[in-house]
Amino acid sequence: MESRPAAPPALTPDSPLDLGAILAGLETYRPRRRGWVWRHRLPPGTRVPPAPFGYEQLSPSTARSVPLPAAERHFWSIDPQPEVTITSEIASGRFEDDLRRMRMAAWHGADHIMVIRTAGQSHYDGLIEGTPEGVGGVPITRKQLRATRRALDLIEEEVGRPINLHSYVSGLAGPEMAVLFVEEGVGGAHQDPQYNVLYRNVNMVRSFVDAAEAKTVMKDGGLLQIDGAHNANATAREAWKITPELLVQHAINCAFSEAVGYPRHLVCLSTVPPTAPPAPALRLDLPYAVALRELFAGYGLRAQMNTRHIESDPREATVTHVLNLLVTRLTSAHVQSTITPDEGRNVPWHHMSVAAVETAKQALAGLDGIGGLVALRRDGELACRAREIKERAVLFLQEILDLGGYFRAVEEGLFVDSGFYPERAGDGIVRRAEGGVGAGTVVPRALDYWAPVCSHFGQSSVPPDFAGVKVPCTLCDPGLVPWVDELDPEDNVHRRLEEASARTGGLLRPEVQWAGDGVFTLTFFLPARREVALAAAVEIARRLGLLEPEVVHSRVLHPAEGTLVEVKAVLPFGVDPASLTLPKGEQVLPEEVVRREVAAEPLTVVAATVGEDEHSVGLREILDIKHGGLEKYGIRCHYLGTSVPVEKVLDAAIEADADAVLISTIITHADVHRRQMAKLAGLAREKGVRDRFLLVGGGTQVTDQMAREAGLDAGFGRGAKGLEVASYLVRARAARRGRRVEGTAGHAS
Amino acid sequence: MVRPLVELARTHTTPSIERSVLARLGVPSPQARAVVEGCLARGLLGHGAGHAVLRAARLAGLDPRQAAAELAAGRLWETVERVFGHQGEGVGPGGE
Repeated sequence: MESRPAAPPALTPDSPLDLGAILAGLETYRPRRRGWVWRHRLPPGTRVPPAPFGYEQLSPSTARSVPLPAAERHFWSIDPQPEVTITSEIASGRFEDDLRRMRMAAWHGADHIMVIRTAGQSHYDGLIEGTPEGVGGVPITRKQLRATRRALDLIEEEVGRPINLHSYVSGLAGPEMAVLFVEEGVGGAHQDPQYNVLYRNVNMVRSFVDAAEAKTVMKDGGLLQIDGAHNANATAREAWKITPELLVQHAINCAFSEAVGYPRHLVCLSTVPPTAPPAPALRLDLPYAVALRELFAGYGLRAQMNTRHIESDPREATVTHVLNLLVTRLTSAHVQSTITPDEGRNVPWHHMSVAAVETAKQALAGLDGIGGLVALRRDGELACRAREIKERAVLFLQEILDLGGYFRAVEEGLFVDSGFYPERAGDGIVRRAEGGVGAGTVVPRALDYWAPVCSHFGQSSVPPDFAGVKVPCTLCDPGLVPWVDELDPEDNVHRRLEEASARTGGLLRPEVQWAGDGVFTLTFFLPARREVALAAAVEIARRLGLLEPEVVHSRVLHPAEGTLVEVKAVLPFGVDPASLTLPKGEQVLPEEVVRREVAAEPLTVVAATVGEDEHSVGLREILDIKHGGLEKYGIRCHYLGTSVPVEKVLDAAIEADADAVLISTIITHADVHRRQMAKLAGLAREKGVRDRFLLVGGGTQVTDQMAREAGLDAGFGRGAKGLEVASYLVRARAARRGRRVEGTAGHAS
Repeated sequence: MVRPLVELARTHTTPSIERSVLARLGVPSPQARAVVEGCLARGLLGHGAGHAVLRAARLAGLDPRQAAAELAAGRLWETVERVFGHQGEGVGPGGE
């Protein structure tokens, strides 16, 4: 139908995802693998070259990534990847825009992409097909999963590390979802019948009967299973009091999973440190974390960040999350999930998803090997409290049995009670065995019940007259997997892509989640009390011509002295990238290349601020070791001071047998900066030494083009860095000798 | 504590389990939904929707997916009901 190739081309780092190519020919796409993929843990002490230090908790580096900000200048641009899988939850409602965010998250260290379902999908009795738009999540469908998995294939090739796709096997369509996930190469899923019962009010009989079948399909497909206990944290009034029940919920799902044959290493307990500062968070969170890991040795652990206590302040959320990561490193985890620091105020935005992944990567690297430095005390408060939580959990289990089993216990409101068990506040969630969504839909199997398929749980017998008859099975033969395309001609991805294209009109607009959404924020301080500051902030945004201004965060710095405000608004215009003049961008060399060149052959410069000019700061920054200047790379610098005549600079260069002359001119009235540069070039020619030196001009108003027009070899303007000048000197010297210096670290900004 | 829950699961089925069985036979979800609704309405779900489809396929000389499409379109049900004997056998209102 179209001239597109059957498979989309491999990604290149300088090209955006081609969504059209990903959506074309999906009906013939098959996932390249099934099941879950762990990171490979490297031996303790493994280095990430060229950094000299070893890591205790490391997995192989990716082929491509964006390292942490400090890495480039100070740590050889390394990007150490912890041994723990890192999760990013990405679900804006429009999966096509999420694919771009998944790529960004993967470049920052995520290898587990979790797609939250659209509101209401758990009460939908069946599969949704096509690609309708979601609310607070994405409708999980065959087409959406297939397009996502296909995009992740390309992304994992680009970064050089497998990426797991993950969603939810819950609600009224668990078994069908499980089959769909295995067929479409989804690697992991939440599955916990208690989640349905407590938080989705799905009938509990239905939920457990469905769960046995769903879990059987999942374990045969090699999917990682994550339970739902962590939701109690987010629901309970005082989250730290729910810890005994959390152990009980984990135990019920683990025991049920094992009873249907799920291997322990693929069953992950989902755990969240329940508290946050200003509570003494570690003293409350750590005993629970320890008790959990002692009780459930051999199971997987998925450590989630706290959502319960996130407000509108991303800084506060990030600190809480770093403390969560400290708990992870002081104990253990196999999967580290991330919560975006803006989750307290909106559906997560692109850059906040990346920020959360970076928080995990940064803290896990920084806390590498902490277990070899400090040990948790096995006496005193920690052991005592861990034991107490376990004892309370055992009492909880006993009461469930005393009441007559799980269903009775739920009917009695035993779960998600805000008391610290066995204290009871009487506010637990109550469900009835005959109530809830999907009640009355569970049917006893007749004596001749037959489910003629693989990965089936429970009683089933092949009728004698069907003995030996071969039955088709999509799990055995992927070629039989059916394809269902769009069912709604209006609400689908193709329509949305057309609308997005019309919205942007080829112009560049800010974006937080959807192509062309135009949303951005302004952060500023107003010296006024909060109420005034909020009103003023909106007024400022209006007068700037911004649309739909709204204060998304404010922080009182002092009740009278002032307030920090963050305003969200829509920019009413776009920018045409073709109309922009881009700076050339001097290619800087890696620091070690500059050092190597200078070590191989010494490089000397003579430098001064020339004319009647007393400015010294700019030039000193280019030269001084403490500013990362030329000296840092072993370049010898003779600094002559300020207001130095050009003649004197040149004489000093001749005397020192320098390789380069650097003059700085800041004052510009009457074009004195141009005249000084031209004078240096003329004088060098007169003295017959023009070819001996690289002549370089600098200053806030100087440009490379201006310096060249004045007869110099190069010019550097405002914001130039020592490494840029050093790179230029090393390259230019080599070029004069007919040699090229290889290696680029990126563009100077 | 989970033993009675597992036993319940072992001996019962649900519309979703049965749709998932049909899915594994290669039946697209809209048809799987219609076939399971048809089984429920006729009290046949306790025999297994996959079972019903394979019976229909054998009697009509179709492959399982064609048979599911026929059942989804409201055809072949009389033959299936006949095979499973009188309606409602072994089928109750469900739940404990």
